[in-house]
Amino acid sequence: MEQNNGNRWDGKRPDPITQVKEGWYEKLLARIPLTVKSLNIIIAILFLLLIAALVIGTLKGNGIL
Amino acid sequence: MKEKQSVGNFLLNNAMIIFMIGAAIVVGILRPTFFSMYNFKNLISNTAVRFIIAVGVSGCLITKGTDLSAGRTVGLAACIAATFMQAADYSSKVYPNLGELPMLLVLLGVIFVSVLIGLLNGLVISLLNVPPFIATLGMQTIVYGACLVFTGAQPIGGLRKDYTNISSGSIFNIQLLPYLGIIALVIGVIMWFVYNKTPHGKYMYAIGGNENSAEVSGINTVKTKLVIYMTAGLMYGIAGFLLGAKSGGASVNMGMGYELEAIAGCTIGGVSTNGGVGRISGILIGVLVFELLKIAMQFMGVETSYTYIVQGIVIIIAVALDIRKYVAKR
Repeated sequence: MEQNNGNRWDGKRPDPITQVKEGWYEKLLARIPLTVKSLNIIIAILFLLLIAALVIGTLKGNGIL
Repeated sequence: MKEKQSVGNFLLNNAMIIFMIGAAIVVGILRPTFFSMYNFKNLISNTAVRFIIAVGVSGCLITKGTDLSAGRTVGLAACIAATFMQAADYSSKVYPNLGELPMLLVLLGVIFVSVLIGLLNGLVISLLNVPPFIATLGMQTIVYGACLVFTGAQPIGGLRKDYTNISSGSIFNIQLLPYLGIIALVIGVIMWFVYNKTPHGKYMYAIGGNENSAEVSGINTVKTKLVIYMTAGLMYGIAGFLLGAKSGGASVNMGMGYELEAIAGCTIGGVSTNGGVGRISGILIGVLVFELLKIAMQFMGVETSYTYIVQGIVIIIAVALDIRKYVAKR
């Protein structure tokens, strides 16, 4: 690894353990700029879809639609 | 201002639970029988089996893994249990010459098979470093195939009364205390102890938080993961045994999709798919509100195809809320 020099951490660059810690969310976030604000919008849209599915399903199930 | 923000965050983080409880209240007002004692017992029984499965899956999720073979393992366990718990006088017995076996022996046999499946999952994931998603997806298909071979794709019925009584009976004939609910509660308490008061529990959360650090700290990650997947198998075995009793029979399609319900229940209840976070009480709430929503949809007469769409959206929202929590923390 780049940070390792003869199995010794040079202390300047990020320690490899801390880097691995970040996992797949970090890789995802690096590609898509996910912010709390954008997630709030996505969640709000999903809730609207949920309500729409519930309403349409109920109307269809009861033979109204 | 800060207080306002924390209230807002609390409401958003628990939005799914609040929404589902709100929906249940609306259904209760529109259909008064929704709050009947019979329905309540039904809710407890349904929640009990799924809670046990969710507790099994939660260990995998906490260590950043998953278990997609959960549902099929539960199905296989139910089929094995049903096969060996058929009444002696039933005309279409799978093994006509087999006498009535002690219930405990059958339960132990079912648990042995499901723990073995968990062990194989654990070995593939921790020793071969196969991603849990792929490893358990493969196992899901293998277990389904094994179940088809075992049952010959024939449904199994004619179960013994003492076996089916596990699901229909209740303590002192009190509807609010069905055996299934009590069993799930006992398992919940035991698992709470394991997660919070034992070294294994601490190791599990440590691996979920940062596997490399955990390993450097001296935690045997391979062994811990093996135990986690074997414990999950144990849970599926018990759940399958109970599911067979509850359904009064078993077939190869039993347990199909239960893993997704379990993952949904866990995520709604606060188990992070990013690992390292999750509580037994949260899982119970998550599974309970998910079941509440399903029963509420039945009462409202929501078309079956739409119930699947709703459940799918609920799972996506739960994961989105989990990601939001993670992003907000950064």
